[in-house]
Amino acid sequence: MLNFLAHTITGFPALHVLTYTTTRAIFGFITAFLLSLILGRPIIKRLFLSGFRDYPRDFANFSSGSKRGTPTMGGVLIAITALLSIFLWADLSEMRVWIVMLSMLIFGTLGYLDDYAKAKHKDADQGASRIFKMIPQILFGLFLGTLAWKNYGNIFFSTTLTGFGDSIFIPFIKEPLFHGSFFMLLFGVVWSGGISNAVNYTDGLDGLLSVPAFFCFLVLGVFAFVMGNSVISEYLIYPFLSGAEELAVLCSIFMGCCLGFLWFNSFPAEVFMGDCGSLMIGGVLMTISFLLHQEAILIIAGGIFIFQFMSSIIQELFLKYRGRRLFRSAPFHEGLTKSYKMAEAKVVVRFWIVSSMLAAFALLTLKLR
Amino acid sequence: MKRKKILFTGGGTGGHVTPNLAISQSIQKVYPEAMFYYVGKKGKAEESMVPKGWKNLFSESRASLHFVSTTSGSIKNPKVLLTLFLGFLQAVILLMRHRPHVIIASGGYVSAPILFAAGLLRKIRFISSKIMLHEANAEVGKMIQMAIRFADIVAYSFPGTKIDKTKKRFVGYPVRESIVQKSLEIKGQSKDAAREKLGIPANAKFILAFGGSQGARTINRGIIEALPILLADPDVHIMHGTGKKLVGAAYDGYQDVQQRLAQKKESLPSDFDKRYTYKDFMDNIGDYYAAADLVVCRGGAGSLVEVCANGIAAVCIPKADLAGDHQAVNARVLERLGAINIIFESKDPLDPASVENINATDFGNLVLSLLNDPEKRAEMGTIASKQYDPTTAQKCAQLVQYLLGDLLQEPELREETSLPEEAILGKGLLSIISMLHKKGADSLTPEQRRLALYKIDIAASQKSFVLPARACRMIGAGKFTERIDIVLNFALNKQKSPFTRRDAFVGLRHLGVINTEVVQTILEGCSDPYFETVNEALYALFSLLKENLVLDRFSHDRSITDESVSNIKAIDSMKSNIIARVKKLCSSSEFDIRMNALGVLSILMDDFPSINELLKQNFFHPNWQVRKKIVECYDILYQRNLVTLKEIQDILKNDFLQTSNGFDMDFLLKSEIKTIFQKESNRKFTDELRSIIFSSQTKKDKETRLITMEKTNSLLTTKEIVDQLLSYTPADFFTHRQESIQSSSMTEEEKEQELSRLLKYQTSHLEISKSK
Repeated sequence: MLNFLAHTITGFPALHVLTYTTTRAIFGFITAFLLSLILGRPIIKRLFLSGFRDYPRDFANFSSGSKRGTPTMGGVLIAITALLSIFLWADLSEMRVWIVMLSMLIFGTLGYLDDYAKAKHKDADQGASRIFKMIPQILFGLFLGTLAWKNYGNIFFSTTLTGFGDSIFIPFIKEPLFHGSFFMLLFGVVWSGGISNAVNYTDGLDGLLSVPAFFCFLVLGVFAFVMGNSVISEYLIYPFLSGAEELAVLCSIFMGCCLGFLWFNSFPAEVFMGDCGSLMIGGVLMTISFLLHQEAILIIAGGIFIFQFMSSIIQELFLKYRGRRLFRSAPFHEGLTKSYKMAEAKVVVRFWIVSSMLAAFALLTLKLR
Repeated sequence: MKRKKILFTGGGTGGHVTPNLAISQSIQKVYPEAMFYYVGKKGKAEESMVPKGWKNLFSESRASLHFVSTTSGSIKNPKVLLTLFLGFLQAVILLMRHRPHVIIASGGYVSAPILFAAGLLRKIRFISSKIMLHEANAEVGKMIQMAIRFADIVAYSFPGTKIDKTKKRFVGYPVRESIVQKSLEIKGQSKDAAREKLGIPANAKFILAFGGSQGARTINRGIIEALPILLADPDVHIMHGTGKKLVGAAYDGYQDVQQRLAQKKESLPSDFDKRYTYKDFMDNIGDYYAAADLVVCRGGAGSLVEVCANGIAAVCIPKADLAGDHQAVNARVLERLGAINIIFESKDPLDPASVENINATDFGNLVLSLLNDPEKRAEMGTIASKQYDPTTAQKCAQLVQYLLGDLLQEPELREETSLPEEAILGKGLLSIISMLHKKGADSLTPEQRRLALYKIDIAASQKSFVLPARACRMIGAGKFTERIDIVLNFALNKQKSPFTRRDAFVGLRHLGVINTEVVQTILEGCSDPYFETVNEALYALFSLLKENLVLDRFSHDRSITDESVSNIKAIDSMKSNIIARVKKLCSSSEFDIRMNALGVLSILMDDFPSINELLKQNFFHPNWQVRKKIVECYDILYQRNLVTLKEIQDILKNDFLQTSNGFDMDFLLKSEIKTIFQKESNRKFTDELRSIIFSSQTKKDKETRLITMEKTNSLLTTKEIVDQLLSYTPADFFTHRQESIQSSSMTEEEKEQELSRLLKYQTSHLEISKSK
């Protein structure tokens, strides 16, 4: 909105600074963070009072060491701060912004319904069924796949690379690996279901999701900025996507949201993200990486998510068909805290370190190719 | 009056259809003009039974039978979900078209589409049908459980069924008019007349055995096996309904009985064919009921209600079925009331080819003892006939009238006999296991142990990954030493799933039995390919050895028998063997295997320098749990007098890495809240503790009392106990001691002596505290 105002109000040349992507990105980052601080307390209070928490029924087993009773569904805080900041700082005439917001809406609602069911039954196993969650994910994947394949609305149009929409890129190679044509539909579905669930699986310890997500947004933001800037993209030999730099603004806004949420979520947590937050972050990461066609970069930068997800799936298959465990415990963080009895804060910080290393490695592919 | 429309649903098996038909007959009497609909699944029992039962209605075109698509199975399966969704749409169309006034459902997956559709349509006020459910079994089926939310009334058949209080109505099992009539006739018919008709001597002891229309393999084989025992009594006569083979059924009862009888012939008395008859189908079963002294039957609600209607003593052999133990729960209700006796069928878990069977000797002896005790039989019969109400179907019809507003007052129903809650049957294995761990194995009554053993046998013989494993855990949790051979077999059985092998060792650990066979099994288990199994085997060995070889402060209440002494001696001779095997595991890459191996070695090895060397190698192990175990090992070595405390302190202080990343958090605010919650129980606990410590009992008595207290109370940590105790002043101690001396059973003289001694002690104590 401020971008629009700066364009319409002509009397003040100083306002022109608000039209630059970099300034808006940084302002967005700060706004999102400050909004989280301001809105955090009242929202946590609201969540607690509306019953999004679990509480032991039996006071004899009341444990002073357990985190039970912490309000959940903190994803609402992320959603509100993100939306407010987007309306303030992003260019709303850009279609990509609306697609990202659509993914926020769909995945956030899905997670909300899941959390709601859990809170209602007071049982973590009584959430929404997998099939129920899968249907919207598949539909959104099909939607993205169609956009890429048929290039509706020129969202996947690049002036420097024909057929950008159905190209599949891998790191370290400049040219697209191959053109997927209608396979983009299948790819979209797998990507949509896979990444959002992978991020969802990772959530489980205080701050375990927000910081790796922060690094993923950072990496994707850099790529969005490169691909949306005609000079830099030419220099680094990336396809130029007009208007993609708006995604960099979004990424930095989400970075602010993640940090703001971490303010309250850091160990020991005052609020949990819940499926509402984790599915939404997963959905947004997935959408932005797909819009830029930098899926492989997300796989590297978000390697933690993929690792957690794959280990859980493999473990589950082994439990079901072989009657044994392959790993001590899955997802991996649970193995560390429950089986190796490592302190939670330690596990979380180590995950942060690994994810920063992965982010550095992902950024390396910017030039090394 | 407007024509009433009544819709019935439920089926899949005959047991769900018959009550519906019975209710429909009585409703027909109340509303002679009513329209009837039945919704079922094609190809199931209702397809043939409903047209037969509603012949007249069909001929007057007042009834119709509809089919919807439905299937059993988990709703998570997409195929099931799709089928149910189709059925749901069909049901919506059916309901919107016919708009029934009342929907009566007897449960089963067949009724799912109609119930869900009706629940939804009622909520959005598209239809205003009343919904009445009827549960035939003593345990509420899954479908009924889900549908209780939408229902107006839930009628049920067995006392003690768990249903929401405001909706439940105890009516009984609705029986068809013709059968009610017949049972009344039978009651009128004298035993002698019936026997004359059937050609059975008047003084005979007559048994009627049958397993339903298709026959039951367990009953057929059980009877044949028990024949030598039963027919040894010259007065016993038996009528055996073997059941008819249905098209497509795998089991042919008649042929099976024929073959087995031919094999058994030699061991039977010569006149056996006069006293034992078998038929594939008994068309005049009423006569047999009238003549019978004892019935042997299955535990289906229908068979049981027939037994009750006729007021005969019965031995029931419920079908073993893990999906909720329907038959067993039904039969248990009557057994607890005293109406019948149960013989549980079991399956040999160690032989995968075996089928369900019963112990023929137990069965034969039980039947004979009942036959020879006419008073008991008479008593059982009276209790049984009290459980039967011929007006059940009418009551259901009255409930329907009440729902429709044609009856202003609710019909008066029978009072149900209240039964205490069942602790074992009808519960999941996991909940039983956690109950056993919580309350201890001694909390089971002999009756409950019998039921638990039945559950264990059935679960252990299942093919799935999970159930045999849980059975092993349950054997351990309940200390069922009579089933130790199952555990020992499963532990080394490579055909079983890895989870089963692992849980077998968990069971062994909890069982607490140690002998050469157990140790041998554990040593073999140490070379299992699955890491969790090896770890559990070692852990079992460690805790068994620790319990039996290391003497600690709990040791003095251990019961020492000759057997345990000889067992320990035998293990002592295996010592070098065990040490050699376990030493190899000490350098395992799995941390938990390594730590348990160290634990075992510190119990067994007598040479301190060499065990110390092994422990030392792990002083810097990256996993702190290994290092925690090392501290425990030193404690064990100290208890074995191999090392002094001073030495241990030196070692742990100087060479041992003490920092670790294991850390427990504690919310300070929550612990404050906790103290408020637990104030009452804490106070009680410390009061008890104080009364023990300050009492004038001997030291040994005090110790035993303290130990039992420590075992039962897990709320407080030692530190908290000490804190609480410290808050009592010395003055408290003296007044307490005085009171306990006054109230003790000593003579006056002794009391005075004791009191004066206490006074002396008090003054000196006060002086000391002053000088401090």
